[in-house]
Amino acid sequence: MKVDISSHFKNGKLYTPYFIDFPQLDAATKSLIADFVADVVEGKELEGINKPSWVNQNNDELETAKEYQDANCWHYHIGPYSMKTKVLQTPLKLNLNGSSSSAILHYQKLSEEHICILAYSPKHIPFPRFAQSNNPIMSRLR
Amino acid sequence: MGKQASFSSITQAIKFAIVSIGALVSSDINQDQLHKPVEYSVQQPFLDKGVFLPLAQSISGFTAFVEKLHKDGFAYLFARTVSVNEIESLHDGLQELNDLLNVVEKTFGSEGREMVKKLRKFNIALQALYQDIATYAYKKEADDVVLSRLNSDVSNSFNETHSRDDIRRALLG
Repeated sequence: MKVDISSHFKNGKLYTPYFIDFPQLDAATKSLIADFVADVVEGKELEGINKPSWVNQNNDELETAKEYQDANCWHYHIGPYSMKTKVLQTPLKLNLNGSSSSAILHYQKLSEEHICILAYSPKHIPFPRFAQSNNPIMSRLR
Repeated sequence: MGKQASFSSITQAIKFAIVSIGALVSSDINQDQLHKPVEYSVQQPFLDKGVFLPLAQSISGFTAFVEKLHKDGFAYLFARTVSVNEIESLHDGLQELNDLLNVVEKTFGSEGREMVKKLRKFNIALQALYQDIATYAYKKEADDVVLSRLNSDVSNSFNETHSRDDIRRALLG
């Protein structure tokens, strides 16, 4: 599996309740992201919920999130987890029953073997609308 | 009603919903601790429409209130007049209500379907309002960053030739 990181995310300055770029994150969160990248590259089973950004928790499609579908944007519940689960999944298959966290990592699935990390949200409820003005994902797509 | 009063009314409505619904769920938890089967875990009076109906009606009233504020453009006014702490406190309430809703959905099953439906509608109305408030409140700093960079450069690329140490070193220094 190949994992790219958007330069906007890696070097960005965004710091809002919805989105925080990598340089502004605390050490623990940076470490979670580094481990996530390593786990994906190694093909290690992942603990968090992993799902497309255009479906709800029942895997029903959301009408308001078509742009996420067009760009094949997914997100992973990166932790820390409030409740642990034993439902692990190989990267980066759909996992609706994994552990949930407030924080998520947004990524674009370029192929089944290639992703690009786009953004980090410390909280995701309500889920950021694709076109809202403070959502940087649109400008980071490949 | 003033802007500040309107905003306070919203947060009070969320608190009311959380406390009311939380009380019903707590009853379930207590019963569960007595090792009763799940289907009996909610006390019968709570399944009575005498409890659900007034609560559902209150929630509907809150929903209409929030939708009206949203429609009347209050999100923009709130974003300009309410403090960031209060906006984030609203978000915390939303999050708590959402978590509670997930529990309620599992706990009450078909008996509470109507109430859950109304709570979901309330939650959706609140989320829509919050999204607009947050969008306006953080617009300037976000726009400064987002609009100045419109390309898709890659900063790092990792594959199976990279060890965990390589990745951690590249990202964490």
